[in-house]
Amino acid sequence: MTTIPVSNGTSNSGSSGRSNGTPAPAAPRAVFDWFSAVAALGVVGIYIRAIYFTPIERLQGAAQKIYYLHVPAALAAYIAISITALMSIVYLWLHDERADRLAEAGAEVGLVFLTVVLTSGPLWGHRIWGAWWAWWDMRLTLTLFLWFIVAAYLIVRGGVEEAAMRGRYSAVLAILAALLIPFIHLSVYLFQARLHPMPVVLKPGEPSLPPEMLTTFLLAFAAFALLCIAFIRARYRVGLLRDLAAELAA
Amino acid sequence: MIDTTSTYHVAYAVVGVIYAAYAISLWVRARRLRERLAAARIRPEPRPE
Repeated sequence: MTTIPVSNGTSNSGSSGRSNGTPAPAAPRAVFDWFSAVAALGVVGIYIRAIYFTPIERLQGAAQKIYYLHVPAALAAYIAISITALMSIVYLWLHDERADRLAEAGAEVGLVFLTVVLTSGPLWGHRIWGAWWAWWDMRLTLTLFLWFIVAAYLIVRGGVEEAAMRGRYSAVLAILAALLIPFIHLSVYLFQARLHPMPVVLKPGEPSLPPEMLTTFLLAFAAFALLCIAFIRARYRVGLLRDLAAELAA
Repeated sequence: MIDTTSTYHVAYAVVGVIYAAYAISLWVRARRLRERLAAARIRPEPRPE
């Protein structure tokens, strides 16, 4: 990461909660870097591959290609929210503001990917299932519930002034959010009444996708996982800039 | 085979817009914060009485 030093030597606590007299971290020069460029190229490549070089499914037609955006976005959201929960545990343990900032970044990016899931899913479902939404489908309802928990996490962070209290309260919400992820994935096994099909890739045994479709899916997962990490890195830098600006203004 | 092309076009466009809007929001926030940082750095120190 290319950085420039903060010139005034501010070193004491500000909104970020640093109170141990350590020097202020350097301000990041750019939020997006070569890693973000690679991730963006990967996503463009996946759009091209999915649209032009992946066969159309016989029963659903072209709408099945939403799968290459919908499922990788869900997995990327799980990654982001898991990072948030892990960093929240680290924050509760070590009280390191960097862990808290990374947890915040993961939550915001997780919310973006969950929004993609909750937008692309109903578009697909309306055409194939004949319904935008079904409350009795637990995967749909639990994903919406997860969206609300992550949104609540960000609202708590915006609403609590005191840094240590903000970190503790939001860490608890983050851990609760991550506990929901296995239930969302396993909900198709746990509940008989459902619209979502059984997993075709993330299941015991061989994937049931044809090789061209499986390759597109795996590449899409890699591209969106990279995009997720790139967004988290960029959002972490925005948080760092915000904390440095708050310290200088104090 | 049913024609569901329009649905898939809309989904791909909407998803692309969401990712692009988030990337732009990060860039805009970073630019504003950098301006605030620069303004805070050039602010003169208060003179002692």
